[in-house]
Amino acid sequence: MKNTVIAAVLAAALALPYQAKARTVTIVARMNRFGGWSGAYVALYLVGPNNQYVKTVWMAGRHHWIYHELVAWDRANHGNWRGVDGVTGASVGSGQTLTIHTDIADSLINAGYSLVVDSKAYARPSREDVRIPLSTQDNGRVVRTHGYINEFYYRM
Amino acid sequence: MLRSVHKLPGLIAAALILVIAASGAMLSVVPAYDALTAPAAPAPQLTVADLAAAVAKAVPGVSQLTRAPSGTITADYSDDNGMGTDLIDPSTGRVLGPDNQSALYRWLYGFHRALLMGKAGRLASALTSLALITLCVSGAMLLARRMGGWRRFFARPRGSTWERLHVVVARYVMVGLVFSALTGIYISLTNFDLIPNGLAQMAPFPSAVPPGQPMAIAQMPALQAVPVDQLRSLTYPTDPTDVFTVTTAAGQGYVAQANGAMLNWTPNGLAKQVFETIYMLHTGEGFWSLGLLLGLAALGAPFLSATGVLLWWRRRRSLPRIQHNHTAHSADTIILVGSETNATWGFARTLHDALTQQGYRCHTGSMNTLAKHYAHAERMFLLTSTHGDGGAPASARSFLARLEKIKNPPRFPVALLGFGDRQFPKFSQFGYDVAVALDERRWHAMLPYDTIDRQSAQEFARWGRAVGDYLGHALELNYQPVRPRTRVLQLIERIDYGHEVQAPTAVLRFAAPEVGGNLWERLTRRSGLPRFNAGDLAGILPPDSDMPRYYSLASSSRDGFLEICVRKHPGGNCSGFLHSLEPGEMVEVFVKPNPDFRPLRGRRPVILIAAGTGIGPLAGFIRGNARGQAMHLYFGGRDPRSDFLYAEEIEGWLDERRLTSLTTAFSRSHDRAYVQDRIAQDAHRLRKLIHRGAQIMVCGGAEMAAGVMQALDAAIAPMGLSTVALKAEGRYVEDVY
Repeated sequence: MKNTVIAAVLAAALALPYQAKARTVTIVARMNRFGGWSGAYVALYLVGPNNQYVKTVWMAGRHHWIYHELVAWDRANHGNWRGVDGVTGASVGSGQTLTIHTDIADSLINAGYSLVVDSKAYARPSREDVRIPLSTQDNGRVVRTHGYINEFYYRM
Repeated sequence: MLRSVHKLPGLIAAALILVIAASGAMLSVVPAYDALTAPAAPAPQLTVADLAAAVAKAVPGVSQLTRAPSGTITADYSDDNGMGTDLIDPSTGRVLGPDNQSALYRWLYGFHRALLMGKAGRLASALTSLALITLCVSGAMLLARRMGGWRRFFARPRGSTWERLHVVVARYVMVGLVFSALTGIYISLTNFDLIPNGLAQMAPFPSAVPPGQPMAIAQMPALQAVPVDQLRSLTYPTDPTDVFTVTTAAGQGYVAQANGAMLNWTPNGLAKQVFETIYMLHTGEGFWSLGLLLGLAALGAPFLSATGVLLWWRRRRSLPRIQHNHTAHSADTIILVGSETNATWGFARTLHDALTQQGYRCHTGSMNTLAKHYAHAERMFLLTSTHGDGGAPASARSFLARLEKIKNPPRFPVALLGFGDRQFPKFSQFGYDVAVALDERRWHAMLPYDTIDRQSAQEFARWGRAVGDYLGHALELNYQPVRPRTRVLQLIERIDYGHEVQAPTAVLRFAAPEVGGNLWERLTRRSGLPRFNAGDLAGILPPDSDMPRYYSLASSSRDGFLEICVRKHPGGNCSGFLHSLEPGEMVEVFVKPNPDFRPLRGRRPVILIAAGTGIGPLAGFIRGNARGQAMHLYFGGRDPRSDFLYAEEIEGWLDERRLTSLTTAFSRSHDRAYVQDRIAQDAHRLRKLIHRGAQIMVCGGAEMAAGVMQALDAAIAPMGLSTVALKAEGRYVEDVY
């Protein structure tokens, strides 16, 4: 009994700093009916208070030579397509919904950081549809656009 | 081996090849359609600067200008109401209307590259291309082997109608298919990132953009330097500090808004140039005539898949079923069969079954499959018939050539059995040739070379006992002939000739008897005439016999009757039976196609040479010659008053221009000539005909055929030609008995 309490306290003590440092964010992007030949490439990335690129949260689409055609993302990221290792998935079809769960450090929330969505369909230009601050105030706020993204929100 | 390489990918990938090639053929029309419907090309001096300025004014919120390989220009725009694409007039930059891409085209495109199945589909598509290449290469090699060398690759193909169509279509489309498949595989490999396509190589974004107010687009020197027909795409800047992105056929760069200067211009790398060229060659985008040609070739692929599967199925069905057939590799007893009419297979099956019952592991196959090594073989049996005048039967055609390649004789003993008919001068000649060849190569004989006359079950059983003695146990070979599926036909007319000159000959005409009952009964009873052409063979089963006799057909089923010419042989079982028939009586008949003995279609003349009953199939050709192709008949008989077969009809055919000329020779008339004498006399005329591409068809006894060949060789020797050379071209064909 005593041991169990100690173990629980120890576990809590070990876990607490992590809990305090990061939280899981669910990001949902529902696509418009953009037509197109195949799915759209969607880049989800974080930018800092001065619009400087921080990291890519998710890249939907597998062919790296298409990444450069996501113009806003490519320029922010200085053409570094290898920076998306481990966070890529399939492209998103017309009318489909992309849902992502990711861990985001608490230090980035309410600190002037923003989530940006840059998308592109085959043989169509890329378009930055969403740029939303990462803040408790914008938590769950639905953004609607007439671009590739129909509606977008995140919950944390 | 080569046949398996052709067969396996063909059967496995047939359905995939069918759909991918069909969708490719449909897509191939698109570049031509685009080129046809594209707006008029702009003046050569029109630059991207003018166009971009005009479009910026005409399309608010324009984000990108794209020029398709067909010359069509589209502008993508994006505003608060969403995105859209407009078609742009390349000369003025005015909007022509919204750009609506066909949903069918998009669906076909997705289907063609990945079967609408993502990564797995793309892999399947790539593997199908690989199968297609394998099929084309192995098919070409098979064809070359069959035609007798690469130099004769384009010679006239032989075989059944479907076989010939398969070969003819394949020769036309093969190059296009290999081309499409190779370029398709390349594109697949770049999609799987196994070959770089260079598309990722972009001009590096400029680190510093010249500051200042944007200048007018039409004045930007970097854009003025690019003619419209060089443009691929132009991306407009999103804000005053951004840049234009210009992509042309040659490379990519950025244009600053403040001074209109080109920044970081990067020419295309080699990988990208290669990819773009190959992509263009595969799709025909920007090269629509090639696209259409490839599309036509692709149309051939579904046809080849379908006929290929059909031919495989027919070949499989025609092969006799052998039960408990071990592989050549695992068997201890190898039985190889040389057969033209499949009759010998029945004997092989009897031997196979009897040996299997004794516990042997037997393999039965055609003599054309003779292998260099048999891992576990302890004995071999060769059962072969003879085709025509001492030639190899179909399933043993390459046997002697294969035998020559085997350097060391095997350790196991071989028993050779020939099948034939003693009535013919070259009785079982091919079996004898094989025996000599085996002897020369010091193959170890199990038994002396033996022969079976006229499919005699008794002789076969006797041979079986000899084999049993050698093996050390009893071997009962009880051969039960399989009756071919026959139809019953009724004799409706007979005309007799030649009684006076001791050559009794009858022209017999059969038709389908009237069958009662309803339609279903008629259909299932397989009544009516079978389908056949003049020159095919009619197999006739005399009563109390299961051994068919073959006669060349003197009519085609379109004539509505089945006609044969039969000479009565002393002691001939079947000819005696046929001569005893009176109109109204019935016979059992089946048809065996003989597709190589046909006049070539076209305008070239045909020389028909026959003696006696040999005129039968030739008369059938003349009767069917409604188009009036030039046909010259040489006929030899004994006496014009007695055995001039078809004399009356020939007169009518001459009047109707179905027959162009007739030359006769009669050995018991006053000039005592044979048909080969007429050939020698007509040498000059024949040379002229052959020079015009004439085909020669000979039908009759072996002796006459040899005489004709000799006379013709002498006649055409001055042209530097020979009957052997004409034979190889398919221009000298014989039906000899």
